[in-house]
Amino acid sequence: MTRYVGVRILWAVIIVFGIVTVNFVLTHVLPGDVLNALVGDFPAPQAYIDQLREQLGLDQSVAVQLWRYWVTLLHGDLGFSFVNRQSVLSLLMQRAGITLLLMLPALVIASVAGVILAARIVPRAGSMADSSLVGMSLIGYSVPVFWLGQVLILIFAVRLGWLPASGITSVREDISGWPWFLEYLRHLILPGFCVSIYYAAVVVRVARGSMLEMFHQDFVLTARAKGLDERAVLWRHVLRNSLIPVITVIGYNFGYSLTGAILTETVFAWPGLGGLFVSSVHFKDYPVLSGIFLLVATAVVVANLITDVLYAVVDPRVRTAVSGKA
Amino acid sequence: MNRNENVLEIRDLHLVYTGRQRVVHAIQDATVVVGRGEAVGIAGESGSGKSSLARAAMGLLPPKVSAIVSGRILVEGADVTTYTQRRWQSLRGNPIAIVFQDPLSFLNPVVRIGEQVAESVRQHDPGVSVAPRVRDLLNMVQLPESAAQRYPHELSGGMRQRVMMAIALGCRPRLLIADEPTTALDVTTQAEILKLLAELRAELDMSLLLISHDLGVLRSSCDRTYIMYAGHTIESGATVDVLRCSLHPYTKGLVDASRMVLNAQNRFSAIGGDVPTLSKRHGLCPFLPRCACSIAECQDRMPRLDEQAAGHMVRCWQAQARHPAEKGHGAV
Amino acid sequence: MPKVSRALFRNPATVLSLSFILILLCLAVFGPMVYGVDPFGLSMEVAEGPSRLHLLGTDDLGRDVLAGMIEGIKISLFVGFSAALAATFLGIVVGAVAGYVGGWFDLIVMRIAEFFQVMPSFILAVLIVAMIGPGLTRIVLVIAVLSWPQTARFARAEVLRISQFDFVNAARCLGISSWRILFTDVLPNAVGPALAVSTLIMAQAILLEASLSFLGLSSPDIISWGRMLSAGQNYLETAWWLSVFPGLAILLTVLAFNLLGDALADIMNPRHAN
Repeated sequence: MTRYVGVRILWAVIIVFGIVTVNFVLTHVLPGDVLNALVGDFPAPQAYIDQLREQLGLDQSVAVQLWRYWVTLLHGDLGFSFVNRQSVLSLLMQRAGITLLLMLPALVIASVAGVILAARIVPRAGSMADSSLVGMSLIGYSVPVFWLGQVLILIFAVRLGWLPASGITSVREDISGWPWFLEYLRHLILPGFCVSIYYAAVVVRVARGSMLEMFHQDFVLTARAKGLDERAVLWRHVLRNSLIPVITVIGYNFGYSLTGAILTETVFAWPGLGGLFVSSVHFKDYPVLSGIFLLVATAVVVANLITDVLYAVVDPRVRTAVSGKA
Repeated sequence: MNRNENVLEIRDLHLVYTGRQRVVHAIQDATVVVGRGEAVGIAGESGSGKSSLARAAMGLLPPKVSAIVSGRILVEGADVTTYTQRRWQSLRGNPIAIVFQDPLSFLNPVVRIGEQVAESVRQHDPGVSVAPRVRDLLNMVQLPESAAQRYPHELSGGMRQRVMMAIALGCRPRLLIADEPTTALDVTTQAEILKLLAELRAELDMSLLLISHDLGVLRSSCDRTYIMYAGHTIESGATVDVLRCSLHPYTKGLVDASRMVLNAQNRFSAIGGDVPTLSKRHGLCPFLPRCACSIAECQDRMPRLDEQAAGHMVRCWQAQARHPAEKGHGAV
Repeated sequence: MPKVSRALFRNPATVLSLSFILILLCLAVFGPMVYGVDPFGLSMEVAEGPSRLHLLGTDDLGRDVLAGMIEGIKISLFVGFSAALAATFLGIVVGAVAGYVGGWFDLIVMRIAEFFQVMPSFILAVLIVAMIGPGLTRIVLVIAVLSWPQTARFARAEVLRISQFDFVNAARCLGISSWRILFTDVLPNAVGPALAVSTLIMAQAILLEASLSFLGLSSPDIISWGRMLSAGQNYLETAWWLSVFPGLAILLTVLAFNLLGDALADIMNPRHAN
């Protein structure tokens, strides 16, 4: 087990190294001056440009530049965003927290709901209810999330006026504590639904498929032959095994759901990384874009690593296989 | 309960599997009886219906796609033919338990061995303290106590088979059905498992129904044997009689082939032809197309299972013609 | 192949999705002639809802929504098909060779594939397009480069599976060169599952292109559904038809390809499932 975890961590580190290198390559591939990529289109003071040139060794060989880039990164210096007048790192940290406030509840609810729905529907496989669920989950992961957001706003905010159309909290200042929390929840409903729909659809699909498959497995026959009743068979044998692919699908789709979150934030003006991402594209604020890429990619690597470990915890057969996912 | 009562009786069973557009008559006319303390074998090739029989005896056939058309199944005298899954559940494990072939897929891959054995104990021995009983069971099947902490994929085939037996024994069964218990094992392990089965039988006064395509296995372990072909029981009796003085041409062919007897052309004897389809009910003897000694009557009607010598029954016109029956159709 | 088509047509969902795709194609080809409205043409009816003149309404510049959607079919289908084609081709070749040759090459290729799958493709796509500028061919290339690992994985798995079969060893013993075996025996078998994945890639490509357009990263002189949605974002309260209809088109198209891909995957996989 330790060996397995160790190898996975090693791979994660290597991949992060790869990501940083890709980031570095991207900034140098940009048409025009490299400085353009590092500073963005916003006019920056000459002193800063000179300092950058010195710091990153831009007049020296690529190898030196890469090295200097690494060193700079490790010091936590991701550059400065002139558009936002903040250091990129602090900007990212600020916004990332808000994105998490959207993503985490959505993911958790989606996963739990997905599993429960699947467990409910499996005894009625083949029925109308089953087909509808399968159909709905198909729609769930085909729907363009930004369109869904717009439709939800149209229905619930514009027509019905029940829920807010944007932002994380109401415009009134000075609310904190419980009232703030309630407002946050109210604002969370629509965008949260958007982010979770893809996840829930995928989880339902995988959970249902795997549970159905489990019922035909030989060890379920053994469990029945022992004289166990159907409930015990379901909970102790089927569920434990069928959740394995569900855990892996939840973990490995984390990256995709980040994409959904970014698009959703755009539609709902949720002040997280998504909005920052889009505005930076608009303003060509490359240091921020670069930073977001780095942050997101690393987050995905970490999520994958955690999933790998969880997978090994739940499925003992994996612990003896050292190579990565199949 | 009557000491002389049979643990399991299957009489004239006709069982079908229903698919999308087709029906498979997996068992067409099978009669198998296992008495208390007896070791009985069922031999036949794949498709003969022997595995279906084993599962039918425990109600483990998938309910939506299988149906018993006619015949009866009696467990310790009680007619269980029309039992629902819920009622079957109370019979499984005790009095009948089953051990399957190819144990890796038959054990839950994410639960430790000890826990899987403990499940049987908790289900059938509620008052007993679990850990010592599990240790006893592992001992009984000659597994070390440390095996309890292992997962199925960490054990060898022979060890897994023993685990399956421990799970079955934990139910305190009066009849143990073993469905191809040695097929997935190498010859040495086979011998060990068979020896273990015999010892357990003696120790626990348990009946055994051993199903295998390997005649050698049956010869060494069973007092009586049934031969199945294309869903019919075609011969039965004391194992010695059935194998040494086979009456049915199929049995003779099977025995010759297993002994690798050389025939007149100096080749290994084999039974020419193929097993008949099971998609319809056979009107005549299913072995007819491959039989070298058929007589006129074989073309007319399906032979009946009749007793030829003491306890030795056969479903074959030709055999019955050569050895006229001494009694009427016997009890076994 | 005939067996596949028979199985395909038996499934009502696949028939539905195939028909829908066919309808889309017909619309793209004959639509402009039948409907007759110039998608780029400005008109006097500005920001008006569905009417007899403009079946699905007009936008803030008086352009007809339905005509724009028909125009958008071409973009989406083009991106979908070409990206999937490129990704599939690249993926099959790389994956099959990796599986067949094995060793270091295989290891490195699979690590690179894993790397591509780990990186959030959307963000990378946005970054690249933001840097190199919009343009259909560029978008297609970006999507292809980000999607090839999916087909590569399948192709490689198939190749590994088939390579174990004895007929391959037999061919080797007969002295037939490895490359010939690869092309005549192994590759044809790897195509099947890769086909199912490529249909799914088509769906992903269409969605990705729509997302990129939504963020304004498509060239301004083409009309794409995503771009229509991004324009509609500002008019949610006043002109709902600008958002609802193009988005519906995206949903139905992606759904159709996903359904098709699913059905193909079912057929290609162990057909003998119970």
